[in-house]
Amino acid sequence: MTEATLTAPSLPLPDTAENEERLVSRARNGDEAAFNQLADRYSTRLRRTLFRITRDCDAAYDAVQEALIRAWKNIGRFEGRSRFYTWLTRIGINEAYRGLRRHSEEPLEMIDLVGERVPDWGSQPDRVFESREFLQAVDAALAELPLDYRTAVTLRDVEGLSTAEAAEVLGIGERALKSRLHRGRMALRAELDHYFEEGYG
Amino acid sequence: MTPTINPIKRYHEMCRETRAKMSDLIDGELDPRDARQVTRHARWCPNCRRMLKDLERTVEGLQAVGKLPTPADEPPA
Repeated sequence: MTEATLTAPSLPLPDTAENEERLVSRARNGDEAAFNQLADRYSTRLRRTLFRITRDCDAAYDAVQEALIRAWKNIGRFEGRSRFYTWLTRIGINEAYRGLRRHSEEPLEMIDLVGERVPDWGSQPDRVFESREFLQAVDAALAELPLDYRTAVTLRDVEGLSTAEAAEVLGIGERALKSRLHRGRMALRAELDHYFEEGYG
Repeated sequence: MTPTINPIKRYHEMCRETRAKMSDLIDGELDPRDARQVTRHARWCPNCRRMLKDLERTVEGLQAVGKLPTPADEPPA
């Protein structure tokens, strides 16, 4: 990063007191301290997201570092039409994708089981679905989804972005995002059938 | 010759259409007419009913996964 540019004397307000818009505006004017505050605010969350996509700690760390450098260099181009975090996540995902092979990826089949008997999970008690074991099975199944689907499901369901935000992060339309999301969820549901078939503890 | 409608084929087509809309229903992003159609079909079709319930459980599971720690939670040393 370049040397810090000092702007007007700014009182060191606590993170939460200074709103994001003002931090972004200061960062756009070259205030590195303001940018660092934004980075501190979001880097852990971004690292978690990128870990869930890459499943590799080092790759997630590296992608966050690269994303922050790139974001600082390009903050002048951030127009504030989206949230800062959405913009940063888009950069982070592009960085993370660099290290992942994806050219050979085929569209995921829609596993809707039409005409077959759909297994009944409904008879399981509620606590099964809240158990750590079930959640670990969900996470393990997510890790195995093809990259584009894993990313869509991670952003929308695990990270709780809206459809519009997730689509924006990926630079795709909402319809495309919804299609990946639905196929991904259906594939996960099918994978979890095995979990219940094999017995869960 | 009058074209015959294969009832099983038609039934499966309804299931396929219903299942294609389930994520949107869960996300509250389905228009009210489609939402009514999906819930009505799922009410009398046991397989679609189970599919919808299972898919809801899957999405709830994913949301809960977001609260679990990951190995990348700590900043790099």
